[in-house]
Amino acid sequence: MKKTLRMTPKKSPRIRQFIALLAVGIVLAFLGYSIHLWSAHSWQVQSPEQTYQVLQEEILPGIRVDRKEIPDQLAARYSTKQIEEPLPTLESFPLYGAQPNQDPNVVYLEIFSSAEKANALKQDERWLVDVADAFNAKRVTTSNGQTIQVGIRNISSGEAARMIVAKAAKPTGYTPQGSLWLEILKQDGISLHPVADQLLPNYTGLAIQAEIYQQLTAKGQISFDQLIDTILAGKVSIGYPNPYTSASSLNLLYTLLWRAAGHQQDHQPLTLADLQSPQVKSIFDAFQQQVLVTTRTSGDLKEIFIRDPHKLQAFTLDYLSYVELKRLPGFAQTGFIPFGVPQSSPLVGFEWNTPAQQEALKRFSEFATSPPMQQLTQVNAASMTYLHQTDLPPTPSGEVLKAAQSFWKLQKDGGHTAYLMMVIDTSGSMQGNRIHAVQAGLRTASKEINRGNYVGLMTFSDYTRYLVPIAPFDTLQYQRLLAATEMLRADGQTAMYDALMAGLAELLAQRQRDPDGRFYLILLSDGEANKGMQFKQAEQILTNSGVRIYPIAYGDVSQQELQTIAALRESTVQVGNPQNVQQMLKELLQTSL
Amino acid sequence: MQWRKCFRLPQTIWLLVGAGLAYLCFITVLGIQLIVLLSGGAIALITIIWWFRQIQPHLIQALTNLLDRDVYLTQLRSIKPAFITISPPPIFRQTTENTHNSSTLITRRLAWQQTYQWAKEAHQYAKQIANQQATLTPELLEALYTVLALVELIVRSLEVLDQVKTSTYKHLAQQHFQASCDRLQATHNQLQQLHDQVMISDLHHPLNPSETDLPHRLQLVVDANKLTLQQLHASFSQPGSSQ
Repeated sequence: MKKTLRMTPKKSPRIRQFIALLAVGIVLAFLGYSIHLWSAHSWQVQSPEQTYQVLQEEILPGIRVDRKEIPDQLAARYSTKQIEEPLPTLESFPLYGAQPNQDPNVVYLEIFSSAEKANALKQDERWLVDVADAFNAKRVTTSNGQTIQVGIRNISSGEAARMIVAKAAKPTGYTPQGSLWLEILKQDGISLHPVADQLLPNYTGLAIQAEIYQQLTAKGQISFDQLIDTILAGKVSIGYPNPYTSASSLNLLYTLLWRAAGHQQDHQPLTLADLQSPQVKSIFDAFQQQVLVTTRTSGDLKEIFIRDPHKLQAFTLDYLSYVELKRLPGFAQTGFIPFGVPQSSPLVGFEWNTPAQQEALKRFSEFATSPPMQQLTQVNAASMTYLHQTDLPPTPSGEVLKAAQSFWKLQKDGGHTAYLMMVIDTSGSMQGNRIHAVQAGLRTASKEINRGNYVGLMTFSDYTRYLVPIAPFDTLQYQRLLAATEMLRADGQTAMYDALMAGLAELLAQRQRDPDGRFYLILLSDGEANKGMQFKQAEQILTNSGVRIYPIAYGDVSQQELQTIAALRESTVQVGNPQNVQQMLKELLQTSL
Repeated sequence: MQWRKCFRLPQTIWLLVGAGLAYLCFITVLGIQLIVLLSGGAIALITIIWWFRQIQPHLIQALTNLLDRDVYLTQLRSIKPAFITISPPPIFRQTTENTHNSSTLITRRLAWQQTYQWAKEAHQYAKQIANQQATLTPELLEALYTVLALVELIVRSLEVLDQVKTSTYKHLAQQHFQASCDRLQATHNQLQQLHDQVMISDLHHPLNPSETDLPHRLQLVVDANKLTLQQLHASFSQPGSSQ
């Protein structure tokens, strides 16, 4: 049988080459498509310069921005002199312990206390509330047989001082975190009746990130003076809260200026003349160069630290809070370097108190300083060796402290210009009380802007309206802001990210001209973006803009995206409502502009 | 989120293009056959997967915000116990000792799976609470730090349980393990309750945390965790003291 030779048909080299090239094309196309899918809908930028370019060339052409500038003739009609800052209502500060009582057999004491010991909602900040509860339960009486009942109102030291000076409130007692606030009250003509020098031993310091602290103390313990030298040398960056409201921050400011004036040598208190000295100013400027962030409250600072311990190297904290922080897993190695005037919660009464109230205050202070009550903090007072040092700064006069606050406000930018764009939601949901509260807030907050700093205003609903172009703050710009604020109207949808992009573009345009400036953006919104760009598309732009964004979640808004925006740079979401938005805007402008 | 960041790196793009070209060269040289396609594809795939596994922790390392899911899960996975990578003894070689080891390993693995699940869900609740109530962020962050510390303690207890031989110390390690687990479970349940409270309240009217006991309840969770951690760490470092 003849075998038939059957050969497998062999492909010619041309066909093989064609198939190979086809495969190359398919794989490359697949790779290209995959890469496109992964990176689509977001712009690839890595620096503020690139961000500016992408914003100008690719994003802004697709966004509707109406320039509706306020004519100067119209703005000029607005007066900047008759703007009164309303005081907050007493009811906006919670009252714990006993409630006001008209019973003639009861002596009722209402004590204004700073939050670090009167915040009943937090286990480690409610010491005075627990003391008051224990005291009320004992039904202690005065010498004439009246039962003493104590209520504790949680109010920041600065706010309490403002309300007392304005006579908007007449508490029986006042216990700020430190004695510095008492000096400010005396300066404003309030007569104080001292009851106790200290209710709770405490002091302030700088909490320092563990790695930095290890480096600093590699050759032995360091003092506050040495730490300041390290900060001035640009090796450590710090954060602190607003010295107009925070006792720790006011203490830091005073101690820094006192030291800059060279008074650690002669141990004399700081004087007004010292604040005019070029030496003090230049040291303060150098210090401010190293300030990473100034927050509204101490709580914001702590949040930034525990959220991103690698970003914030040092921040102000009182010792008792530091002890609590160290108990948190991962923070046991955090360092602490104390400074300044002790902050041991003094208690004072006022001239309007009756003798029975003054006696009752004394009884309460004796109870609070008794060993069982002191032990509630679980911190041994004997371990607070700093309080026994003899070279602590002397307590200054209230006049000097107020001058130091003004000095801070004027010099805090360290020779740099601050630029702020306010981007405000005017969508339909802002109608009524919400928009009115924002208008009132903008009117009063504008007073806090330093002359020479730049400010602008945009609003957004269906699209972005550029009402006040960013310009140096002077009387005319102030009037433009007031006029624009008056004209805010709520309607339409929420094109939030479009407005955010437009605001950033304006700030980055200023950055091209002044790369050393400080750039901020306040974003106030009461809803999620439902028109225009979305977060995913804007994320890279927000991350690489170099602008610090302060998001205000106004009302019942989902805070997820605002949280992410805040976390991009050292910031926190501020939760606003018509009751607190005025104060919030004021404090944001006070610290940023 | 992190995958997207990987693709933004120019190195990733070059690697993908390079792997693709290498794959094609491989096919061109060796011819289009099933074995060539599969083996070349596998090599390219392994290269790419290896790259992503290497780069992922570096991308996440720069971030420490525990409320971020990727950051949290990376930290949680880094606590993974050593026994997870050990295979149980093959059945055909089973002896009495092997059977015992195998069942112990399975028990340990189940315990780890439960721990992982609690920790993962605790994060989900915390994240959703933070989305609704930003003012609770500091307390939620603190709670998550303590959750991770409890997971670490559970893993350590499980490993110690394998290492100690005397019944007294085995009992002690078991106590540590149980106390950490109980605390973790309680944290999980409390966060779940708080989460539900926030969600239900938001249906009717937005919740104002300053008018509720939410911060207080969260702080109690954190304090209880800190206390448990302190006590267990102290007894780990001085085992005799609790005897």
